[in-house]
Amino acid sequence: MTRYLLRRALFMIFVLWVVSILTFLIFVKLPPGNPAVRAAGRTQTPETIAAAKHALGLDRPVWVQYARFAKGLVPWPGWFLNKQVYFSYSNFVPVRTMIFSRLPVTLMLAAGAAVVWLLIGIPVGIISAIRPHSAADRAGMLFALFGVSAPVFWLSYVLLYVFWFRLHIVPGSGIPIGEGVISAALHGRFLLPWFALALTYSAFYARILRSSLIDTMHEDFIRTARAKGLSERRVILGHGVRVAITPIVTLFGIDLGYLLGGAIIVENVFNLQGVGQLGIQSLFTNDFPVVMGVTILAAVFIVVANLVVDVMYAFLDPRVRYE
Amino acid sequence: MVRLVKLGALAAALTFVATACSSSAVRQQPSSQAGLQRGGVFKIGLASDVHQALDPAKEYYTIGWEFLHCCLTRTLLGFNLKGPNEDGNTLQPDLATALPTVSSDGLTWTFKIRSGIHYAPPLQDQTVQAQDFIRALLREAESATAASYPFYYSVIKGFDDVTAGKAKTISGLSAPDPSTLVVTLSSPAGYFPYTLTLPATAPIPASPSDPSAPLGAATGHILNYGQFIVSTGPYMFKGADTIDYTKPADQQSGPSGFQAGKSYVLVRNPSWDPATDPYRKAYVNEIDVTVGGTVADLTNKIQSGDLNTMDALPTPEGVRLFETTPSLKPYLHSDATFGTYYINMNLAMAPFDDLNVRKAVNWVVDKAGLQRLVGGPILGPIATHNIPNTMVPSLNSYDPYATPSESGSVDKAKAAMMQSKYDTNHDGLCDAPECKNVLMVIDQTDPNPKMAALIQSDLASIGITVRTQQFQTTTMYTKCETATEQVPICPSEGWYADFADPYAFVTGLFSAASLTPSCCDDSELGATSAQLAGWKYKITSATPNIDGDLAACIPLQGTQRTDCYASIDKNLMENIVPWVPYRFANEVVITSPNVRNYHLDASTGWISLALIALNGGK
Amino acid sequence: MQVATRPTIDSFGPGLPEVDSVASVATRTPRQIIWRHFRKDQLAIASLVFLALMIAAAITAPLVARYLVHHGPNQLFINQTLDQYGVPKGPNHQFWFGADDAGRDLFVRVLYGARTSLIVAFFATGISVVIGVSVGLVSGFYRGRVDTVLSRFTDIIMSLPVLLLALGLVAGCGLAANGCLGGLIRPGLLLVSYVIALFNWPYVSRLVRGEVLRLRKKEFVEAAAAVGSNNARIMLREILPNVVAPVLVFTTLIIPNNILFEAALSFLGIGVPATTPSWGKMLSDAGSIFTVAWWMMVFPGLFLFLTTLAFNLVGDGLRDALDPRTIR
Repeated sequence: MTRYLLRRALFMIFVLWVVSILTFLIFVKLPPGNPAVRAAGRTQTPETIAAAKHALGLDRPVWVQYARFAKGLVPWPGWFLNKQVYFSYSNFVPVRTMIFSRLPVTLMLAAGAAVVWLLIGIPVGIISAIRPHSAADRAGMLFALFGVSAPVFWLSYVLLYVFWFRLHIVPGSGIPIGEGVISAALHGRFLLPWFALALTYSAFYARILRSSLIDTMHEDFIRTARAKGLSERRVILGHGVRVAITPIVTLFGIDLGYLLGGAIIVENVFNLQGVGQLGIQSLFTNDFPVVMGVTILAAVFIVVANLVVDVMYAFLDPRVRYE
Repeated sequence: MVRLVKLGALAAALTFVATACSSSAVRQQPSSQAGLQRGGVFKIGLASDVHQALDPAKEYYTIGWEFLHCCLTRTLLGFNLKGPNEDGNTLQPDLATALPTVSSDGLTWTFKIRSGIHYAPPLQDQTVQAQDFIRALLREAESATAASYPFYYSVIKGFDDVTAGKAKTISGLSAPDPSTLVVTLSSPAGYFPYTLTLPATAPIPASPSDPSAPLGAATGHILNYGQFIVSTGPYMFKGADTIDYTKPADQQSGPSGFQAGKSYVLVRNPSWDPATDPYRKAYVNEIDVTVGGTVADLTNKIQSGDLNTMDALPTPEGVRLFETTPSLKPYLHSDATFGTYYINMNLAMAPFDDLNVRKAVNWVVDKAGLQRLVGGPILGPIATHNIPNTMVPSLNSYDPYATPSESGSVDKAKAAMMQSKYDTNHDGLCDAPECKNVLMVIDQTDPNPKMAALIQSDLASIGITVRTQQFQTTTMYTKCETATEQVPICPSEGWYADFADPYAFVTGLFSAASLTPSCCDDSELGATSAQLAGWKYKITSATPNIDGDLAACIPLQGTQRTDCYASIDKNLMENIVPWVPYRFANEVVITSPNVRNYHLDASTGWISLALIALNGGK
Repeated sequence: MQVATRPTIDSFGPGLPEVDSVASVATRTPRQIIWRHFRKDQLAIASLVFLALMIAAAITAPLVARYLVHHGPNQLFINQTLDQYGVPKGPNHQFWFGADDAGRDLFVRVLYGARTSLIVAFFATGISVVIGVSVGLVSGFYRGRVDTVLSRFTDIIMSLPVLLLALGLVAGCGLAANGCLGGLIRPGLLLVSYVIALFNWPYVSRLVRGEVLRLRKKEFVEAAAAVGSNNARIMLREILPNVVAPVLVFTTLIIPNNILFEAALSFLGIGVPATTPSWGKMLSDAGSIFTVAWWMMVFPGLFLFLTTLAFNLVGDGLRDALDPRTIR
């Protein structure tokens, strides 16, 4: 088991290294023009450009530039998104400060949505699977079809209009100044965003779980469990779901990891000042270092999430450990 | 002057402004001073963040200017902060005790400064002195600041020497005693007092740890002084009192009420004494500003009362809703301004380097369509020349590119295009390779993309194809203002006179001093070959220069002055053609139903925050 | 003399299930069996018809523009379609789906939007399938070192946050006036397609590799090898046809995601250029105005929804048809 985990961890470090090279190319080397000018964003005075040039190491050899850049990917205090390279000249603050001030909102959005979609998707998937072609199955799959076909931005607009502006059941978009994330959640400001985000994922997960569980229920070990005299409930939940849920686990890790980088669309429509909104705003205001920082943060989240998923996979499916 | 909305003071010597009648309806709420209660939090939603982080020397955008004027930066001279028909353009003393006196040769201006004006905490023990204004102008002059409108102060003796690095102080400024400021100009300029109403001249207190530091409390804050402003106005940033100005600049932490890109909170400045400030009323206790959200969402929130106003103009459907709903109509405010919305053409970028092409564009643009797309006539009448009719009423019926219903004429456009070198076969369509795939930078905020689509279609009918790049409003302006970006055409721009004098309208737009790194000669008028080559332009022949004509108007007075500027406008429209002006701007603001005492601040072109009140003080 | 005929399914009389019959395997090709299963799924058939209609609409859009309504998707009709405030008018006899807030005919734009969505669906997904099948085929067939290298490579790609890197690419290359690599990387439909392809191919490859590993043990492959077919022949003629089915299912299920992904990118303003109609962009434009202009949200939204729904149903139907266990 330890060997397996060690191998996976090493592999993830390797992937992180590949990410660092790719992002270095994409952000610094590939686009035409002067990277220092790009970094200076909309404050392009000779002084800021010179400062950016010095900070990025553009007067030094390429491998020095890369080293400074890559330091920002290592989750180590002082290195991660260091303010030398990752500095917003447009706002004159380190990128790190901007991101961390917005991280709580994104975390609350992602975590809450994840809870919602698991609470909806998994039961629907299980019920549909154990009674295929029944009314419950049809209803569940109809819901799922709707969920995977409805674009999240359309849904967000409609939900906000109907439930806030017309019905006044939920508070409006955004979080008032000074209100903390927890307080905002208790006031219900995250309800609509959670649902808008969760709908697609829950639908997807329901479909996958249904298909996976149906397949699993035909396996031999299920028949063995039944033969042993276990109740149907224990057979399904204890044995069937435990194996059938592995693709969900894989997906969940990746999905959550991705969302931790910011659900751009939902944050935009509901004016939740999270990391995703920061990323897209910075894109439109030419604040390049911030876009860099957000992308790298999200990449690191995804890589770490993959690692966590691998660990959980090993727990759930023993065969994996011996690969 | 200010982009989109900014109005400046008018020189007392100029008389036409006060009588300017707008051609569109001015909606005023009956403002009853009685019954206005103090208290409450005024909530503003900004669809776009401020332009330059509220740095007084660099902020050049209506919204930012209003926050500075109303609340943070009092200046030597100011205005009554009301609308154009309420004397809002008449110069008044603010931190000065009276309007300045000038010597008989017009070169020496003397200002007397009010005593006992204390700065906001933590520097509440310091009072405003003459030296503080010298510091502000020094900061304006230094090239490292990259100020937005230093050209107004070039007329001060020794100002340009500081910019060029030849001197450390401005020789034309002196403070014989702490309450007297003497300014010596290098040539007479009747408009000069107006330049002292602009935020860049707001006083900067001495640094508590180094009283001799030339820039005082602003030392070291080259790019982020905005959040470190020491307020003289009725409000200050929340948490400003915790700033430690004794530390080096990079170790000072900004106020908690300043969160760039997210939110800004202004709370009452305990040092502000209403007895010293005749025009600011400061009814509300706090001003909360949040950044982000779509214009439609902000409009909904204004209706529901979650917000009191927003920065963006209302959308067409918003205008229609407020206009046609009796209960909402009083909260749709529209005032004429000294502003014009225009399509900017870069005279050093093909195909717009050809005068005939620029004329053709003026013929083909469907101005009536553009007006409809933005929300109809309430947003302002169609512009037929550059300087607003409110400033040069004699040009009221001057329409050199008149077309039926102002919808544009393809035939007339083609006739102009035929004479261009870019129309190789003279059939009226631009067919040279330079006519294809021309870069057009637009504002992504509605309704600019729709208007850009119309302009794109109009240009296509004379053979010019464009590709558009969208940016957030203030980023779009930065791109269009920066010569090195080499943007051929910018259709989403608006410009308000910095103060109510045509000098303030044209100088920032068409003089060589307003080229990069200054602002806002986006057409690159007055650029020399050396400059163009330095900016890496392909076309390096010098662009037309009207600095001589502009200078000739400065010393004139009365009708002679207006006529002088009128002829400049005519020259621009017929012989230089840097723009296609299409709308004279009305400032249209929607407020929530509990907002009282709405006035347009004529000096900035937006809602007057120092006068606004909330119903019942809530 | 009577020729002995093999018993057919029909000789057992009508009303009996068609699956699990040895006789039917002998007389019908696998394709026919699958088709019979599929045919029974009415929803899937209806969806197939709908998609055929959509494809037809997409292909004929220029013809409709020219000959039926006489104007294109970007032609402006400001005076006819916008009221004095600039608010668009709804469906009428001249503009069947109404107009959008820029003064354009929504009907034609929705038709052209089908082109964008379907190009993304087929072109982008197609590229990922081609790459994925090739890599998976080679990887699964040769095994050993080749497999290890290719599998690791696939793993790496799968672990990369491709979408975010694409966003970064758009950021960097979109700022430049002419894009990167001399205009090769520039925001637009092509870039979106490449990104989608890049994102999807590892999953196809893994799927194919698994199938190939399973198939290469089967007798018919051994037989082909014994007869003297070279590797290429075996891969292409024996294994590949059997891989088609699961790949097809996966493709039809992934297409809706890709369509929505393009819609989302266009919604954010980093997908297709503004002049290219896209259902996603239309929904984005409708977001602020749909309370007074319902048609701007309903028509593009409906078409987007139905198209993705149709692909999902077809995919479901295919998967059920291919799976011998889901007996109807």
